[in-house]
Amino acid sequence: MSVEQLSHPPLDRLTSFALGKLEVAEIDDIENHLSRCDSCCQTLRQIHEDTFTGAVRDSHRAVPPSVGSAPTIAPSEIVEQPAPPTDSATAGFRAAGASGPIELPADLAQHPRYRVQELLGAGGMGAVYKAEHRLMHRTVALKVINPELVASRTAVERFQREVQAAARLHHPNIVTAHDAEQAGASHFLVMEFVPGIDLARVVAERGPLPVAEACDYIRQAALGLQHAMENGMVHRDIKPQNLMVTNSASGGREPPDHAALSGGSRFPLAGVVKILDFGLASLAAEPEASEDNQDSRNENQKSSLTQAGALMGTPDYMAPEQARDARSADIRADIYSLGCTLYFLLTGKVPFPGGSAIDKVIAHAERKPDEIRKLRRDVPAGVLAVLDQMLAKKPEQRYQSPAAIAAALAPFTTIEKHPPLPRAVTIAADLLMVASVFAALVAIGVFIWLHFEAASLSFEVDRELQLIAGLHLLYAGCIFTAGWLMRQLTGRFAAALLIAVAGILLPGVCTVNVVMEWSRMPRWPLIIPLWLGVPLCVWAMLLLSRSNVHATFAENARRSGSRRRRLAGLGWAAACALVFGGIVYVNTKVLQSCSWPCQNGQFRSNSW
Amino acid sequence: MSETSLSLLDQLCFRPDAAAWDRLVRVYTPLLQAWLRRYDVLSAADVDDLVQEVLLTVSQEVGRFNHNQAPGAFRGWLRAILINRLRHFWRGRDHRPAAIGGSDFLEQLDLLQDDASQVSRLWDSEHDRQLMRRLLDEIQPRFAVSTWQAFCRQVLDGDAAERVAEELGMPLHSVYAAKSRVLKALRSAGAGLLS
Repeated sequence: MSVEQLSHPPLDRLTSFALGKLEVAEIDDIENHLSRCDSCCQTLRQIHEDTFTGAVRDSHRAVPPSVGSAPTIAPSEIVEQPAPPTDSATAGFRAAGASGPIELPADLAQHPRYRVQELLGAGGMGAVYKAEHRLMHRTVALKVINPELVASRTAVERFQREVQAAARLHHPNIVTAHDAEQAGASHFLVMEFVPGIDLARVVAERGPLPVAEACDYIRQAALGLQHAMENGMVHRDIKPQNLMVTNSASGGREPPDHAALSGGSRFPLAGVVKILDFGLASLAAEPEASEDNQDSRNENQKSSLTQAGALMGTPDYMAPEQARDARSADIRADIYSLGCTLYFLLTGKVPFPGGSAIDKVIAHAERKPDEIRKLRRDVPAGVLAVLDQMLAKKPEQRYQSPAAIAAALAPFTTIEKHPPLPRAVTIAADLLMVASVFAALVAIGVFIWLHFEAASLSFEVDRELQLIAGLHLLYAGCIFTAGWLMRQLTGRFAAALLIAVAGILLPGVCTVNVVMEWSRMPRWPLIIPLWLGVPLCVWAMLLLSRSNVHATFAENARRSGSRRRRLAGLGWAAACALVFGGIVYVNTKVLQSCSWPCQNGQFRSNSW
Repeated sequence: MSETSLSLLDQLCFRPDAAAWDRLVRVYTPLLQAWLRRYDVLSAADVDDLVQEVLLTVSQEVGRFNHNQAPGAFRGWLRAILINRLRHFWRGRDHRPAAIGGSDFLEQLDLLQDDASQVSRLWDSEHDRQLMRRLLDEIQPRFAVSTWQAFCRQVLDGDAAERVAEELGMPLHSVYAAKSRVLKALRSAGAGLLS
């Protein structure tokens, strides 16, 4: 016994043993000792585990058990464990797919009334699931509130109060909240299920939206906000991510409502916009810190900023006064945010894209966003004026009610299917193409004639005729391409360039040539086709420089998606020029070489 | 001991063969996949490509990773590689409207790059959790079923050793030793990777 007493391992070795820090051989030794020594076993019991062991346990807790193994964790434990801090500051950072770490709280999975079907998405507020009412077979969306947001009793009360208020809102442009429920420790919200995607996603997929479509979405959202305002509600977190748009104009489930809402079918292609998350911004906007004693106002403000930033994402859409004091925000802050959203829909960018959250807050208070005109030119001045007023820094300078915005935007929500192209442009384009055919015929005629008569002509004359015919071909190619580009409503600059080259330069060159060689042969009739085209080309140039034509081209280029088509137009024009230039060059060369022997040295005498 | 008893990091550094690569892929693919799937600008194919790229970079550059750093350095290093590959991917991508979705995406990358942000803390915890799970899966076959059970009951379920011994019908010292051995194996497999 005394021998064994002496060989008790020291406490630090026992600790290392318990934590798995010893070498394998040492473990054997200690196990051997333990088998005979109860007191060391007692000591081992007292040793606390370290962070590593805790991490091993956590690794198995927060994630659903791996395939095949039985769940070893009681459901209550999952709920107690605060969910991993999911994305918050990151729109577009979605919860991982089926295998992801966000799992359904057990209480919700066994909910008596709702059968959860799938995870729709997750944001700073929490995960959203599609579910079906077990009895009514009504499809709803369940939003499980991030437990961190409803950790305190006051937060829970505020949540319930806000949701009750939001549940009073019934409007086709607002996602209806049916119910706020509690299942075990998790709070969730039962909402109308909207089949569709949010506007951030729409823009991510399609790029900046056509003016009329963007205006119509904002107009609809404004109608929803108006309804909220009339019921004393403020949203406080209007952003593209919170505006759902249904897949079709029928609005999924409520066709009669929709007819009433949009005042006829202004924009038959677009869906119905529905505002999400009414009443939820209050959870994030009022940080707990503000309820504590205020030691330093500055500190408080800073923490409220960072906290709001952490919970609500970057303040890309936040009104200046809202960033200063969230509680002072009224409907006019929503109007500002809606303005930022309109800016985003039109440009694909938030008003102040660069910098940190703090930089953005400062920019919202002090700077003007980049001019939309610089980013796209087809936005009517009227829309820009509305946007400017929505984005006014001082609330009193903005629209005072969303209804005023809806009214102001209404005229811009109608569009024709195609941007209107002035009739004159179409005619000019057609005439250019006809003229090109005419010029090409002349050129071909000259070539044919030369082919048979070359022997009877002097080398110089022959070559000049070749050149004139070649220039005709080049001219024909240029104006044909220009006309084609105009008909395609693309490559306005390329078309103007081609017309300038063809319509002014080529007749000029030919005239100089003909005048210089006047003595030898009356060739001027040959260039009549070129000169006939000049007024047509000047007219076309004037048309192209008109601002409405300009706007039409710009709109079409933007609609057709990218610069690619414009570049294709330029490429086409360059290829044409190269081909026709090549024909002229080769023709001259070939003729030169084949007629060499019969020119009897006249070649050098009178160079052209 | 067998090859797999080398820590993954050491195996990558000092014996970079096909087995090391397989092990790296096995351990880190789930983490990277789960992480990348969250970016909705990435398609499934993009995710697979990026995972491959990141792991390749890791295997090529791991020799230059300084071993003697604070715990947790590896996950930061891996995060830096991930950000790098994502930025590279984003630059090289033919994304039609240049700015769309891009500013969001780049903002997320900035957040991920910021050591103090919530996102990078999320990365840290996901890394540790996933790595731990994979390493557990990896070492499990090396232990007898009873040893493994004793370990799970104590560490994963938090049961007292006496109770585990009683219910599994094992001597108390074996229960303690089981926990110690598995933890030891886990520590050495993840040496340098885990904090």
